[in-house]
Order: sequence, then C-alpha cells, then structure tokens
Amino acid sequence: MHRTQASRRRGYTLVELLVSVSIGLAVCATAFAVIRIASQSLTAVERLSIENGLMRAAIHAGFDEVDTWEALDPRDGSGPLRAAGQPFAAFDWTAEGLAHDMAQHHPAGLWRGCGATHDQRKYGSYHVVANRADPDPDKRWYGQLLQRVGDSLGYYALTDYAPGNTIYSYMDAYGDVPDEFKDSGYGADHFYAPTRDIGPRDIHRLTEAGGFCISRLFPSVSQHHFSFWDNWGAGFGALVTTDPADPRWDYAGIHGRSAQPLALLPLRPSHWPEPTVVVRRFVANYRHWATVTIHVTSPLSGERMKLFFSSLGTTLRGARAMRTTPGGATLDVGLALP
Amino acid sequence: MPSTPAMHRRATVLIIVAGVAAMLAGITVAFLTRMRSDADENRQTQQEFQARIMLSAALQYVQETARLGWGAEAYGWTDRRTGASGPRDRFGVPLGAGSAFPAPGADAARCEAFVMRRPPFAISPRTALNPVLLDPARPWSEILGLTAFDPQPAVAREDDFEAGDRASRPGTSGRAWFRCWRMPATSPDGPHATFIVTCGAGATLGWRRFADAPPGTFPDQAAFDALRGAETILWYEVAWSAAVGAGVTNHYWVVGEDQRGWRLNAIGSPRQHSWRRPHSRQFGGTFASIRRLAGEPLPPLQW
Repeated sequence: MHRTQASRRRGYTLVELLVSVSIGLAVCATAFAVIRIASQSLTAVERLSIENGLMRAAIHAGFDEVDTWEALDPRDGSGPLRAAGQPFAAFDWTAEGLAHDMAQHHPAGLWRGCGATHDQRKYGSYHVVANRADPDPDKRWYGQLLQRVGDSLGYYALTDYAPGNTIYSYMDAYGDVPDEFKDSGYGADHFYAPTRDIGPRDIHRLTEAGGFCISRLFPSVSQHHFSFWDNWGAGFGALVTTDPADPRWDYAGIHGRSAQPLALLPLRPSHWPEPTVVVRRFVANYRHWATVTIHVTSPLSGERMKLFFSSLGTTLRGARAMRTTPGGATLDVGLALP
Repeated sequence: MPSTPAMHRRATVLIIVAGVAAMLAGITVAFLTRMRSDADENRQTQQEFQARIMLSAALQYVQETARLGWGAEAYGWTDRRTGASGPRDRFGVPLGAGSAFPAPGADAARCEAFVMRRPPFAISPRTALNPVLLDPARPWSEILGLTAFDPQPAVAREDDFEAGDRASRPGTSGRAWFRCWRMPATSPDGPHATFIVTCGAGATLGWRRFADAPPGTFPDQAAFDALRGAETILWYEVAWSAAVGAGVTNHYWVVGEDQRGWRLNAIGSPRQHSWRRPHSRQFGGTFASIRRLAGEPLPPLQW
C-alpha cells in the first residue's frame, strides 16, 4: 500500500517529458500543417469557384443581351439610339408608302435594274420601269425602301429589314443611282465600299469584305457608314476615310465601334476577379452577327481568361417589336410580319 | 473511476485528433457543397447553350419544311408565287393539311434531338478505298486501279442504307428538344409564316404536358413535373421569308476580264468566277424577324 501511494506521487522523468513534448509538438505541427493546407486549398477552391461563377454569370448576361438588346437600347426609351436616324427611332411605314409585308410574290419587291453596272446606260434605261419618283407606288417602293430606311434607321437596320434577296441599288427620277448607293467615295453616308467593282450588290457581295455595325458609343457617325472587315493587303486595310472623328474605318474601327460593354458587377468586392462582357452586333461576311466577348481578370494573380462566342437571338426587327415609344406606340407603324 | 495522468494525456491526444478530424471533415463538406453548387450552375449554363442550339435546329426545321417533307416539293410557307398560305405543290394544291403541323394553329411539331445510331443514307467513314499499289513495275491502270466505289454506303443493303438505324445512341437522348407551332393567319392575306418555336434543354422529350405524352413515357405527373422544373426553356417568335440572296453582279463577271467589261451573257461561261456562282446560296428561305418572348406564350398562343 505504501509503495503504491509513493508511485502515484511519482513525477515525470526528463526523458518522458522530452518524448511527450516532442510527440505533442509533432502532433500539433502536423495538425496545423493539415489545417493550413486544407484551408489554403479551400481558399483556392473558393477563388476558382468565384471565377467560374463570374464566367457563368457573364455568359448568361451575354445571352440575355443578345436577346433583349437592353444595354444597347433601354426599354424606357432613354437611350441615344431612339433619336432620328438611329436604329431605334420610330418609323411609320404607312406614311412612307412602304406598308406591305415584303413577301416575295409582291411585285413591288422585284428589283428592276441592270446587274452588270450601276451607271452604263448602254445596257438600258432601267429608270423608265422603276425609279424612286415613279407615280406607281409599287414601282417606287423599292427605291423608297432603300433610301428611307437607310436614312431613318441606319445601314444595319436597312440590311435587317430588307428582304434577303434585296439588290441594294435604285435609280432616281433621272436614271441616276445616288452616290450613297454606289462606290464613289469614302466617309459617312456611303453604303458601298469604294472599290473598282461597280455592280449593284446583294447582301453577299456587299458584305464580302466589310459591313455595318450598330453603335451606341459613336451613334453620330456609326449608323451610316461602311466599314472594312478584311484587310486585303494594301487595299482595304490601308484606306483612310474623311471622317475627322476617327479616320480609320477598317477592322479595328468596326470592332471598336460595335462594342457594347455590359455592367456586370459594378459593386463587386475588390478582391473578386473583374469580369468584362462586351456584345457586338454587325452585319459582315454575308450574315448578321451577335458576338459576346468575356474577360475575367484576377486581381490577385493577374491571370486573364477570355471566352468568345457568337449566338443566334433576337434580330433588330424583333427587338424593335419588344419596345414602344414613351407614348406607348409601337416603333414600327403599319408593318406586318411576312 | 478516478482518472490517472496517463489517461489525461491520452485524452489530450484524442481531443486534438478529433478536433483536427472534425475540422477536416468540415472543410471537406464545404468543398463538396461548393463543388455540388458549381456543378448545378454549370448544368444550367450547359442547358442554356443546348437550348440555343435547339433554336438553330428549329430555324433550320422551319426552313426545310418550307420546301420539303410533305409528299411533294413545296414553295414556301407563304407561297412565293402567289402569296397564298403554303405549303402547296407545283399545281397550287395545299400539302400537309390536317390537325397537326403544318396546319396553322394546329398541334405543334415536336422534335426530340438525339444522335441516331446510323442516320438514313449514311456514308461509310472508310478512307483509302482504292490504295495505290506499291509495286512500280505494275501498269498505271493497276496502280491507280480505282476498282472500288469511293465513297461507299455505311451498309451494303440498299433498303438498310435508305432506312438507317434511327435508334438513339446511348447517352444522347433526353437532353434537348424543340417544338414548332405555326401561328394562325390573322387574315387571308397573312401572316402565314410566323411561328412560335420553343427550345428546351432537359428530359421531357418536348412534351408540353404530362397528359400529352403516350402512357408509360413518364412514370407519373410528379416525375414529369420534376423533369420540367429542371429544364431550360426559351420561347421565340420567328417570321420566315422566302427571300434568299445570291451574288447578282457575278452573273456578269468572266474571270480574267476587266471588271468594268461585264458581259450580259456570262451565265454558263466556264470562266465564270468559281466561288461566286450566281445561284442562290440555299433554298430554304431566311428569317425576317426573330424575337425572344419574355416567357411562356399565353393562350390562345401555344408552344
């Protein structure tokens, strides 16, 4: 009994203490390392998850803009593209004498002209059978469509509304094709590219190396301007226009003007990656394009991700049908679907 | 029972280990939860893309059925010759009349998207059906034998070749679908060519309601509702047009000649520009308007 009580009071030896302290330290160090690594991993996962989430949000925002055109033209009518000459201006098709459904059987939709050339009378005086001042509304419809829609809504809108088989050329009462619709110069208010190829063009030939964009950032100069899409050596790419605001209307010009940025996260936390979403709309290379370009840049690592895609969605005519004037009227008055 | 110092020490280690394990478990649960959440969000994004692909498929369906699929060649939803409601044959006789698509206002066409095991008229992917013989002593007629047809059908029997195997490949069904409903004309003059297309990504196979599907397609109403709730669906109003562009100026251009010296009789010339043929790029028509609808169309519109 005495011996037992003595052993109960016995303390640690130095060796025991050292061993136990060492084991304890090793356990604690291991535990700390495990927790630290796990915590860092979770932080990295969280960061990657946020980046992926932002990318997903940007994709959905891009798709949404492709369908709604909301950033380009707010539904409340407060945007600059509602002004006269802009693509979201109200347009009275009845008052303009253009109110039929553009179905292909309609005689007004038949183009009457010489496909070989705009301005060589030796092939015939086509203005006798169709010109913009003809007293027959069906014979003047074609020229009226090109001139008035181009003037009132811009060139992109003209290619959106005009039937797919439109030949973009018409004659005035004197048998002349207006400068705007043939290749006679540079700068604003020229629908055609300035090249030696002088024939009337359909949408295919017209946009083979260029096209038109819709721009909210440069509305005063962008809606009535041909831009070059391809850089064909020293030809199109080297062209200098007469536009004093920005002389270049080449690939970079149309790309920059058509960019419509979306405000995805204006109040994001500073340590979150910065997402940018840009939607572009233009007609080029034989088709109407809606493209979405997404960049996500990490403020911590500087790493930058980019995603680009194009998508089908609401056309300009469809977007205009979604909207009304501040007075509640439709933007297109008197125009039926085909 | 009174505890001893040794038991205290063992309990200390146990507490540390248990604590670390609990923290690791917590971190693991958080990680898995985050991954699960990400997977769900990724699925929604994937469905958005799939639904958009279905929009493209639906538009192509409208274009093709404007001309094909009704027993005779047709001339468009709005007949390009007369403006009457199509499809009609070459004599103007209506095609596809009945209570289903393409009759205006009738039941929608339901199209499930999947990959067939072997589509009709499938061509064999085999290449080098006429390999060059490696014996230079043989005559050219044998070296360039061309003894086998190239390309060749995927199957030998002609009826199998025409019929194909329309069963779905594993893993490709139940993912996406579209429906196409033709709007009734508001007047005899039109519109005849406006459709509501519904683009879905999910597993309801394009059935609008549980009651519409044949018995046994879905276990019960609750299962159908669960599948419907997990889908992404987009609605569009689209207006078809017969108008299609072509390279008009190249009717008159003969390669090698000055472009200002257009010929009026260049069509058919062997020196006409090879990639600017003056024929139409396609024969299915184009779309005058595409408009995304804010939500499910309300009656009397269908989808």
